[in-house]
Amino acid sequence: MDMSRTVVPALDLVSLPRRQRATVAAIDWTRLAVPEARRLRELGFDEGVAVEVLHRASLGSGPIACRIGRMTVALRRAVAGAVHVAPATAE
Amino acid sequence: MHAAPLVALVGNPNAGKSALFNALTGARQKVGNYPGVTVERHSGRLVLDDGRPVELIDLPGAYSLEPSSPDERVTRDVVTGASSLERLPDALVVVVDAANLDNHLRFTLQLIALGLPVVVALNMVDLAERDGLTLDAAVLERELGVPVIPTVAVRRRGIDALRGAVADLVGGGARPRAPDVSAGTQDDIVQLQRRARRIATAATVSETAGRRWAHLLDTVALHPIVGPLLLVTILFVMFQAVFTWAAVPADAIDAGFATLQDAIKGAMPDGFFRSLLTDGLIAGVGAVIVFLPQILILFLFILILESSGYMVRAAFLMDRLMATVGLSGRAFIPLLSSFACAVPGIMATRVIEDEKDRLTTILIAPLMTCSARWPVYTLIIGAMIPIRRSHRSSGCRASSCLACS
Repeated sequence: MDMSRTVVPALDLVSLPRRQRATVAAIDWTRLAVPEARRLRELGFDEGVAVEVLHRASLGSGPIACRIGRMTVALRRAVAGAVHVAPATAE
Repeated sequence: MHAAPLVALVGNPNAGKSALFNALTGARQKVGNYPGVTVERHSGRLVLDDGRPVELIDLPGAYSLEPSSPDERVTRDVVTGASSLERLPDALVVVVDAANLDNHLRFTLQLIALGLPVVVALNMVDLAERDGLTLDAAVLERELGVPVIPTVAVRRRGIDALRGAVADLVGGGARPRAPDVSAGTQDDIVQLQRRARRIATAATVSETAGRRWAHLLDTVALHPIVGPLLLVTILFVMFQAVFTWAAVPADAIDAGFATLQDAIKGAMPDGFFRSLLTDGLIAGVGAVIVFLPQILILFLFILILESSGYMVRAAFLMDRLMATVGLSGRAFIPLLSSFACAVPGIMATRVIEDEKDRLTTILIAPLMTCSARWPVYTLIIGAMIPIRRSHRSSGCRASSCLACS
Protein backbone atom coordinates (compact mmCIF):
# COMPACT_ATOMS: atom_id res chain seq x y z
CA MET A 1 0.00 0.00 0.00
CA ASP A 2 1.36 3.36 -0.94
CA MET A 3 -0.60 5.14 1.72
CA SER A 4 1.04 3.20 4.54
CA ARG A 5 3.79 5.76 4.90
CA THR A 6 1.44 8.63 5.55
CA VAL A 7 -0.69 6.83 8.11
CA VAL A 8 0.56 7.49 11.63
CA PRO A 9 0.54 4.25 13.64
CA ALA A 10 -1.99 4.56 16.42
CA LEU A 11 0.00 2.68 19.01
CA ASP A 12 2.91 4.24 20.88
CA LEU A 13 4.89 3.22 23.96
CA VAL A 14 2.42 5.06 26.21
CA SER A 15 -0.58 3.10 24.98
CA LEU A 16 1.16 -0.24 24.43
CA PRO A 17 -0.18 -2.80 26.92
CA ARG A 18 2.30 -4.15 29.45
CA ARG A 19 4.21 -7.27 28.49
CA GLN A 20 3.07 -7.00 24.90
CA ARG A 21 6.00 -7.62 22.59
CA ALA A 22 6.30 -5.03 19.86
CA THR A 23 8.75 -3.46 17.46
CA VAL A 24 9.43 0.21 16.92
CA ALA A 25 7.48 1.24 13.83
CA ALA A 26 8.62 4.85 13.67
CA ILE A 27 10.07 7.49 15.92
CA ASP A 28 8.78 11.03 15.67
CA TRP A 29 12.17 12.72 16.01
CA THR A 30 10.64 16.15 15.49
CA ARG A 31 8.76 15.86 18.78
CA LEU A 32 11.99 15.35 20.69
CA ALA A 33 14.63 17.78 21.80
CA VAL A 34 18.05 17.15 20.28
CA PRO A 35 19.63 15.63 23.43
CA GLU A 36 16.52 13.51 23.97
CA ALA A 37 16.65 12.18 20.44
CA ARG A 38 20.37 11.55 20.76
CA ARG A 39 19.94 9.65 24.00
CA LEU A 40 17.12 7.61 22.54
CA ARG A 41 19.33 6.58 19.66
CA GLU A 42 22.17 5.84 22.03
CA LEU A 43 19.93 3.43 23.88
CA GLY A 44 19.25 1.64 20.63
CA PHE A 45 15.78 2.96 19.82
CA ASP A 46 15.36 2.79 16.09
CA GLU A 47 12.96 1.43 13.57
CA GLY A 48 12.56 -2.34 13.71
CA VAL A 49 13.97 -2.75 17.23
CA ALA A 50 12.03 -4.97 19.64
CA VAL A 51 10.53 -3.24 22.68
CA GLU A 52 8.32 -4.28 25.56
CA VAL A 53 6.71 -2.21 28.30
CA LEU A 54 7.63 -3.60 31.72
CA HIS A 55 6.41 -1.10 34.29
CA ARG A 56 4.55 2.13 34.53
CA ALA A 57 5.19 4.45 37.44
CA SER A 58 2.22 5.48 39.50
CA LEU A 59 1.60 9.09 40.57
CA GLY A 60 -0.38 10.10 37.54
CA SER A 61 1.69 10.23 34.42
CA GLY A 62 5.00 8.88 35.62
CA PRO A 63 7.71 7.41 33.43
CA ILE A 64 7.52 4.09 31.64
CA ALA A 65 10.10 1.35 32.02
CA CYS A 66 10.60 -0.72 28.92
CA ARG A 67 12.94 -3.37 27.69
CA ILE A 68 14.97 -2.57 24.62
CA GLY A 69 17.45 -5.18 23.49
CA ARG A 70 18.81 -6.54 26.75
CA MET A 71 18.44 -3.29 28.65
CA THR A 72 15.66 -1.91 30.77
CA VAL A 73 15.27 1.83 30.35
CA ALA A 74 12.83 4.35 31.73
CA LEU A 75 11.28 6.95 29.46
CA ARG A 76 9.15 9.91 30.30
CA ARG A 77 5.71 9.84 28.73
CA ALA A 78 6.51 12.80 26.50
CA VAL A 79 9.43 10.84 25.02
CA ALA A 80 7.63 7.48 25.04
CA GLY A 81 4.76 9.07 23.11
CA ALA A 82 7.11 9.83 20.24
CA VAL A 83 7.97 6.15 19.87
CA HIS A 84 5.37 4.54 17.66
CA VAL A 85 5.22 0.78 17.89
CA ALA A 86 3.66 -2.12 16.08
CA PRO A 87 2.71 -5.25 18.01
CA ALA A 88 5.05 -8.09 17.17
CA THR A 89 3.76 -10.53 14.62
CA ALA A 90 5.29 -13.78 13.51
CA GLU A 91 7.59 -12.85 10.68
CA MET B 1 56.87 2.10 -0.48
CA HIS B 2 53.86 3.97 0.72
CA ALA B 3 53.03 5.12 4.24
CA ALA B 4 51.93 2.70 6.93
CA PRO B 5 48.50 1.19 6.30
CA LEU B 6 45.67 3.09 7.92
CA VAL B 7 43.22 1.12 10.04
CA ALA B 8 40.14 2.80 11.52
CA LEU B 9 38.23 1.74 14.61
CA VAL B 10 34.50 2.28 14.10
CA GLY B 11 31.41 1.33 16.03
CA ASN B 12 28.50 2.49 18.08
CA PRO B 13 29.19 4.81 21.00
CA ASN B 14 29.93 2.94 24.22
CA ALA B 15 31.02 -0.18 22.37
CA GLY B 16 34.45 0.15 23.95
CA LYS B 17 36.32 1.57 20.97
CA SER B 18 38.59 3.77 23.02
CA ALA B 19 39.46 0.99 25.44
CA LEU B 20 40.27 -1.24 22.51
CA PHE B 21 42.27 1.55 20.91
CA ASN B 22 44.33 1.96 24.07
CA ALA B 23 44.82 -1.79 24.38
CA LEU B 24 46.04 -2.03 20.78
CA THR B 25 48.34 0.97 20.76
CA GLY B 26 49.50 1.02 24.35
CA ALA B 27 50.47 4.50 25.44
CA ARG B 28 51.50 5.55 21.95
CA GLN B 29 48.51 7.64 21.01
CA LYS B 30 48.15 11.13 19.69
CA VAL B 31 45.16 13.35 20.16
CA GLY B 32 44.32 15.92 17.57
CA ASN B 33 41.27 17.78 16.43
CA TYR B 34 39.07 17.56 13.40
CA PRO B 35 38.82 21.23 12.42
CA GLY B 36 35.37 22.79 12.41
CA VAL B 37 33.92 20.39 14.93
CA THR B 38 34.99 19.75 18.47
CA VAL B 39 35.81 16.16 17.78
CA GLU B 40 39.16 14.84 18.80
CA ARG B 41 41.18 12.76 16.43
CA HIS B 42 42.86 9.89 18.23
CA SER B 43 45.58 8.20 16.31
CA GLY B 44 48.27 5.81 17.35
CA ARG B 45 50.77 3.35 16.04
CA LEU B 46 50.22 -0.35 16.19
CA VAL B 47 53.14 -2.66 15.52
CA LEU B 48 52.09 -5.96 13.98
CA ASP B 49 53.71 -9.23 14.99
CA ASP B 50 55.89 -9.20 11.86
CA GLY B 51 57.16 -5.74 12.71
CA ARG B 52 55.11 -3.76 10.21
CA PRO B 53 53.70 -0.53 11.56
CA VAL B 54 50.03 0.31 11.14
CA GLU B 55 48.45 3.66 11.82
CA LEU B 56 45.31 3.23 13.88
CA ILE B 57 42.65 5.93 14.19
CA ASP B 58 39.79 5.93 16.64
CA LEU B 59 36.76 7.38 14.87
CA PRO B 60 33.89 9.03 16.76
CA GLY B 61 31.09 6.69 17.72
CA ALA B 62 28.20 6.53 15.27
CA TYR B 63 24.89 4.71 14.97
CA SER B 64 24.65 4.56 11.24
CA LEU B 65 26.07 6.03 8.08
CA GLU B 66 23.31 8.62 8.20
CA PRO B 67 25.03 11.37 10.16
CA SER B 68 22.89 13.18 12.71
CA SER B 69 25.73 15.00 14.42
CA PRO B 70 29.06 16.54 13.40
CA ASP B 71 31.08 13.69 14.88
CA GLU B 72 28.99 11.10 13.06
CA ARG B 73 29.66 13.02 9.88
CA VAL B 74 33.40 12.75 10.50
CA THR B 75 33.05 8.99 10.83
CA ARG B 76 30.89 8.70 7.71
CA ASP B 77 33.29 10.82 5.65
CA VAL B 78 36.35 8.86 6.71
CA VAL B 79 34.95 5.38 6.05
CA THR B 80 33.51 6.41 2.68
CA GLY B 81 36.68 8.16 1.59
CA ALA B 82 34.88 11.50 1.36
CA SER B 83 37.01 13.13 4.02
CA SER B 84 39.45 15.74 2.83
CA LEU B 85 41.52 15.39 5.99
CA GLU B 86 41.93 11.66 6.17
CA ARG B 87 42.83 9.13 3.52
CA LEU B 88 40.59 6.15 3.00
CA PRO B 89 41.40 3.48 5.62
CA ASP B 90 42.94 0.26 4.35
CA ALA B 91 40.82 -1.71 6.77
CA LEU B 92 38.15 -1.22 9.41
CA VAL B 93 37.97 -2.71 12.88
CA VAL B 94 34.27 -2.66 13.74
CA VAL B 95 33.75 -2.73 17.48
CA VAL B 96 30.47 -4.18 18.72
CA ASP B 97 29.19 -4.62 22.25
CA ALA B 98 28.41 -8.31 22.69
CA ALA B 99 25.54 -7.53 25.04
CA ASN B 100 23.82 -5.27 22.51
CA LEU B 101 24.52 -7.32 19.46
CA ASP B 102 21.35 -6.79 17.43
CA ASN B 103 21.51 -3.03 17.76
CA HIS B 104 25.19 -2.80 16.97
CA LEU B 105 25.14 -5.32 14.13
CA ARG B 106 23.02 -3.03 11.98
CA PHE B 107 25.80 -0.48 11.73
CA THR B 108 28.26 -3.34 11.24
CA LEU B 109 26.25 -4.58 8.25
CA GLN B 110 26.27 -1.08 6.79
CA LEU B 111 30.03 -0.88 7.19
CA ILE B 112 30.62 -4.32 5.70
CA ALA B 113 28.48 -3.29 2.72
CA LEU B 114 30.98 -0.51 2.00
CA GLY B 115 33.40 -3.12 0.73
CA LEU B 116 36.46 -2.25 2.83
CA PRO B 117 38.29 -5.13 4.55
CA VAL B 118 36.61 -5.53 7.92
CA VAL B 119 37.35 -7.38 11.13
CA VAL B 120 34.73 -7.37 13.86
CA ALA B 121 35.85 -7.09 17.48
CA LEU B 122 33.13 -8.66 19.58
CA ASN B 123 33.87 -6.60 22.65
CA MET B 124 32.85 -6.92 26.29
CA VAL B 125 32.12 -10.64 25.97
CA ASP B 126 32.75 -10.99 29.69
CA LEU B 127 29.83 -8.71 30.54
CA ALA B 128 27.59 -10.60 28.14
CA GLU B 129 28.59 -13.89 29.76
CA ARG B 130 27.92 -12.47 33.18
CA ASP B 131 24.40 -11.69 32.00
CA GLY B 132 23.98 -15.29 30.87
CA LEU B 133 24.47 -14.60 27.18
CA THR B 134 26.73 -16.98 25.29
CA LEU B 135 27.64 -16.08 21.73
CA ASP B 136 29.16 -18.18 19.00
CA ALA B 137 31.79 -16.11 17.20
CA ALA B 138 32.10 -18.75 14.48
CA VAL B 139 28.41 -18.46 13.55
CA LEU B 140 28.71 -14.68 13.58
CA GLU B 141 31.77 -14.96 11.34
CA ARG B 142 29.91 -17.16 8.87
CA GLU B 143 26.81 -14.94 8.81
CA LEU B 144 28.73 -11.69 8.42
CA GLY B 145 31.39 -13.07 6.10
CA VAL B 146 34.20 -11.31 7.97
CA PRO B 147 36.53 -12.40 10.81
CA VAL B 148 35.04 -11.99 14.29
CA ILE B 149 37.37 -11.82 17.30
CA PRO B 150 35.91 -11.94 20.83
CA THR B 151 37.68 -9.37 22.98
CA VAL B 152 37.62 -7.82 26.41
CA ALA B 153 39.45 -4.59 25.77
CA VAL B 154 39.77 -3.47 29.37
CA ARG B 155 41.34 -6.81 30.34
CA ARG B 156 43.38 -7.01 27.13
CA ARG B 157 41.77 -10.32 26.24
CA GLY B 158 41.73 -11.19 22.54
CA ILE B 159 44.02 -8.30 21.65
CA ASP B 160 46.73 -10.53 20.15
CA ALA B 161 44.17 -12.35 18.01
CA LEU B 162 42.77 -9.02 16.85
CA ARG B 163 46.25 -7.79 15.95
CA GLY B 164 46.74 -10.97 13.93
CA ALA B 165 43.45 -10.43 12.11
CA VAL B 166 44.43 -6.85 11.26
CA ALA B 167 47.75 -8.15 9.92
CA ASP B 168 45.87 -10.54 7.61
CA LEU B 169 43.65 -7.70 6.35
CA VAL B 170 46.41 -5.27 5.49
CA GLY B 171 48.81 -8.01 4.42
CA GLY B 172 47.67 -8.22 0.82
CA GLY B 173 48.92 -4.77 0.00
CA ALA B 174 46.00 -4.30 -2.38
CA ARG B 175 44.50 -0.86 -2.33
CA PRO B 176 40.92 -0.82 -1.07
CA ARG B 177 38.39 -0.38 -3.81
CA ALA B 178 36.14 2.65 -3.71
CA PRO B 179 33.38 2.11 -1.17
CA ASP B 180 29.87 1.52 -2.35
CA VAL B 181 28.21 4.43 -0.59
CA SER B 182 24.76 3.61 -1.89
CA ALA B 183 24.71 0.49 0.25
CA GLY B 184 22.91 0.78 3.53
CA THR B 185 20.92 3.92 3.10
CA GLN B 186 17.85 5.01 5.02
CA ASP B 187 15.36 3.09 2.86
CA ASP B 188 16.38 -0.33 3.93
CA ILE B 189 17.14 0.46 7.56
CA VAL B 190 14.27 -1.72 8.75
CA GLN B 191 15.49 -4.52 6.53
CA LEU B 192 18.99 -4.12 7.93
CA GLN B 193 17.65 -4.20 11.47
CA ARG B 194 15.73 -7.40 10.71
CA ARG B 195 18.84 -8.98 9.23
CA ALA B 196 20.91 -7.83 12.21
CA ARG B 197 18.42 -9.35 14.61
CA ARG B 198 18.34 -12.60 12.69
CA ILE B 199 22.13 -12.84 12.75
CA ALA B 200 22.23 -11.96 16.44
CA THR B 201 19.67 -14.66 17.19
CA ALA B 202 21.63 -17.19 15.14
CA ALA B 203 24.85 -16.36 16.97
CA THR B 204 23.26 -16.62 20.38
CA VAL B 205 24.07 -20.05 21.78
CA SER B 206 22.16 -19.65 24.98
CA GLU B 207 20.40 -16.81 26.66
CA THR B 208 19.45 -17.71 30.17
CA ALA B 209 16.92 -15.58 31.88
CA GLY B 210 19.52 -15.32 34.62
CA ARG B 211 18.04 -12.12 35.90
CA ARG B 212 14.62 -13.51 36.59
CA TRP B 213 14.89 -12.82 40.30
CA ALA B 214 15.82 -9.24 39.43
CA HIS B 215 12.67 -8.94 37.33
CA LEU B 216 10.67 -10.37 40.19
CA LEU B 217 12.14 -7.76 42.54
CA ASP B 218 11.36 -5.08 39.97
CA THR B 219 7.70 -5.99 39.88
CA VAL B 220 7.63 -5.31 43.61
CA ALA B 221 9.96 -2.30 43.71
CA LEU B 222 8.27 -0.60 40.76
CA HIS B 223 4.72 -1.62 41.65
CA PRO B 224 2.39 1.40 41.41
CA ILE B 225 1.31 1.11 45.05
CA VAL B 226 3.84 -1.13 46.79
CA GLY B 227 6.79 0.63 45.16
CA PRO B 228 6.30 4.10 46.68
CA LEU B 229 5.42 2.54 50.05
CA LEU B 230 8.65 0.56 49.95
CA LEU B 231 10.58 3.69 49.06
CA VAL B 232 9.12 5.66 51.98
CA THR B 233 9.83 2.73 54.31
CA ILE B 234 13.44 2.47 53.17
CA LEU B 235 13.96 6.20 53.60
CA PHE B 236 12.33 6.10 57.04
CA VAL B 237 14.50 3.19 58.18
CA MET B 238 17.56 4.91 56.80
CA PHE B 239 17.06 8.21 58.58
CA GLN B 240 15.87 6.49 61.74
CA ALA B 241 19.00 4.34 61.72
CA VAL B 242 21.17 7.39 61.29
CA PHE B 243 19.83 8.76 64.55
CA THR B 244 19.47 5.59 66.64
CA TRP B 245 22.43 3.43 65.56
CA ALA B 246 24.75 6.37 65.75
CA ALA B 247 23.79 7.11 69.35
CA VAL B 248 26.01 4.40 70.87
CA PRO B 249 29.31 5.25 69.14
CA ALA B 250 28.52 8.95 69.40
CA ASP B 251 28.08 8.68 73.17
CA ALA B 252 31.27 6.66 73.40
CA ILE B 253 33.19 9.31 71.48
CA ASP B 254 31.63 11.99 73.65
CA ALA B 255 32.67 10.15 76.81
CA GLY B 256 36.14 9.56 75.41
CA PHE B 257 36.69 13.25 74.78
CA ALA B 258 35.34 14.12 78.23
CA THR B 259 37.81 11.67 79.81
CA LEU B 260 40.63 13.15 77.76
CA GLN B 261 39.59 16.61 78.83
CA ASP B 262 39.59 15.59 82.50
CA ALA B 263 42.95 13.88 82.17
CA ILE B 264 44.55 17.00 80.71
CA LYS B 265 42.87 19.20 83.26
CA GLY B 266 44.39 17.06 86.00
CA ALA B 267 47.83 16.94 84.42
CA MET B 268 48.29 20.58 83.48
CA PRO B 269 48.34 23.69 85.64
CA ASP B 270 45.46 26.07 85.11
CA GLY B 271 46.24 28.64 82.49
CA PHE B 272 45.84 29.82 78.93
CA PHE B 273 47.26 26.70 77.28
CA ARG B 274 45.17 24.28 79.31
CA SER B 275 42.09 26.24 78.43
CA LEU B 276 43.07 26.32 74.77
CA LEU B 277 43.70 22.59 74.75
CA THR B 278 40.66 21.40 76.69
CA ASP B 279 37.95 23.98 76.04
CA GLY B 280 39.10 24.94 72.58
CA LEU B 281 40.80 22.10 70.74
CA ILE B 282 39.37 18.98 72.39
CA ALA B 283 35.88 20.35 72.93
CA GLY B 284 35.78 21.85 69.47
CA VAL B 285 37.09 18.85 67.56
CA GLY B 286 35.06 16.53 69.78
CA ALA B 287 31.83 18.36 68.96
CA VAL B 288 32.37 17.65 65.29
CA ILE B 289 33.81 14.12 65.58
CA VAL B 290 30.73 13.07 67.56
CA PHE B 291 28.79 13.26 64.31
CA LEU B 292 31.15 10.97 62.46
CA PRO B 293 29.05 7.83 63.20
CA GLN B 294 25.97 9.52 61.74
CA ILE B 295 27.84 10.56 58.61
CA LEU B 296 29.35 7.11 58.17
CA ILE B 297 26.00 5.33 58.58
CA LEU B 298 24.36 7.68 56.08
CA PHE B 299 27.15 7.09 53.58
CA LEU B 300 26.85 3.35 54.11
CA PHE B 301 23.13 3.42 53.35
CA ILE B 302 23.57 5.55 50.25
CA LEU B 303 26.35 3.23 49.08
CA ILE B 304 24.14 0.16 49.55
CA LEU B 305 21.20 1.79 47.77
CA GLU B 306 23.43 2.93 44.94
CA SER B 307 25.26 -0.35 44.35
CA SER B 308 22.14 -2.49 44.68
CA GLY B 309 20.57 -0.50 41.89
CA TYR B 310 17.69 0.65 44.05
CA MET B 311 18.60 4.31 43.49
CA VAL B 312 17.63 3.95 39.83
CA ARG B 313 14.28 2.48 40.85
CA ALA B 314 13.81 5.34 43.29
CA ALA B 315 14.51 7.80 40.49
CA PHE B 316 11.90 6.03 38.38
CA LEU B 317 9.31 6.29 41.15
CA MET B 318 10.17 9.87 42.04
CA ASP B 319 10.24 11.26 38.52
CA ARG B 320 6.64 12.44 38.46
CA LEU B 321 7.03 14.19 41.81
CA MET B 322 10.33 15.77 40.85
CA ALA B 323 8.85 16.92 37.55
CA THR B 324 6.39 19.10 39.42
CA VAL B 325 9.31 21.19 40.68
CA GLY B 326 10.93 21.10 37.26
CA LEU B 327 13.46 18.38 37.97
CA SER B 328 13.97 14.91 36.59
CA GLY B 329 13.71 11.79 38.72
CA ARG B 330 17.44 11.44 38.33
CA ALA B 331 17.82 14.50 40.55
CA PHE B 332 16.56 12.38 43.41
CA ILE B 333 19.83 10.46 43.73
CA PRO B 334 22.07 13.55 43.94
CA LEU B 335 19.67 15.27 46.32
CA LEU B 336 19.53 12.24 48.59
CA SER B 337 23.31 12.01 48.50
CA SER B 338 23.40 15.66 49.46
CA PHE B 339 22.04 14.67 52.86
CA ALA B 340 25.39 13.00 53.37
CA CYS B 341 27.42 15.69 51.70
CA ALA B 342 26.70 18.17 48.92
CA VAL B 343 30.00 17.47 47.17
CA PRO B 344 29.32 13.85 46.10
CA GLY B 345 25.75 14.98 45.49
CA ILE B 346 26.91 17.54 42.98
CA MET B 347 29.28 15.01 41.47
CA ALA B 348 26.35 12.61 41.07
CA THR B 349 24.49 15.17 38.95
CA ARG B 350 26.67 14.03 36.06
CA VAL B 351 24.05 11.39 35.27
CA ILE B 352 21.49 14.09 34.42
CA GLU B 353 21.57 14.63 30.68
CA ASP B 354 19.59 17.81 30.40
CA GLU B 355 21.80 20.79 31.07
CA LYS B 356 19.07 22.87 32.68
CA ASP B 357 18.00 20.02 34.95
CA ARG B 358 21.60 19.45 35.94
CA LEU B 359 22.20 23.08 36.81
CA THR B 360 18.99 23.28 38.85
CA THR B 361 19.94 20.17 40.78
CA ILE B 362 23.43 21.50 41.42
CA LEU B 363 21.96 24.74 42.76
CA ILE B 364 19.50 22.91 45.00
CA ALA B 365 21.97 20.32 46.31
CA PRO B 366 23.78 22.66 48.73
CA LEU B 367 20.40 23.62 50.21
CA MET B 368 19.85 20.05 51.38
CA THR B 369 20.83 19.46 54.97
CA CYS B 370 24.22 17.89 54.61
CA SER B 371 25.40 15.85 57.56
CA ALA B 372 28.18 18.27 58.46
CA ARG B 373 25.50 20.87 59.10
CA TRP B 374 23.81 18.77 61.74
CA PRO B 375 26.32 19.68 64.46
CA VAL B 376 25.50 23.32 63.81
CA TYR B 377 21.77 22.66 63.89
CA THR B 378 22.00 20.64 67.08
CA LEU B 379 24.13 23.31 68.64
CA ILE B 380 21.58 25.99 67.80
CA ILE B 381 18.64 23.77 68.75
CA GLY B 382 20.36 22.88 72.01
CA ALA B 383 20.84 26.55 72.77
CA MET B 384 17.37 27.65 71.69
CA ILE B 385 15.18 24.91 73.20
CA PRO B 386 16.76 24.06 76.54
CA ILE B 387 13.64 24.30 78.68
CA ARG B 388 11.57 21.73 76.89
CA ARG B 389 13.01 18.87 78.89
CA SER B 390 9.62 17.27 79.37
CA HIS B 391 9.41 16.41 75.69
CA ARG B 392 11.24 13.42 74.40
CA SER B 393 14.48 15.05 73.44
CA SER B 394 15.01 12.97 70.29
CA GLY B 395 11.60 13.80 68.84
CA CYS B 396 12.07 17.46 69.63
CA ARG B 397 15.50 17.45 68.06
CA ALA B 398 14.37 15.58 64.99
CA SER B 399 11.44 17.90 64.33
CA SER B 400 13.66 20.92 64.84
CA CYS B 401 16.17 19.42 62.43
CA LEU B 402 13.43 18.97 59.86
CA ALA B 403 12.36 22.56 60.38
CA CYS B 404 15.93 23.73 59.93
CA SER B 405 16.36 21.84 56.70
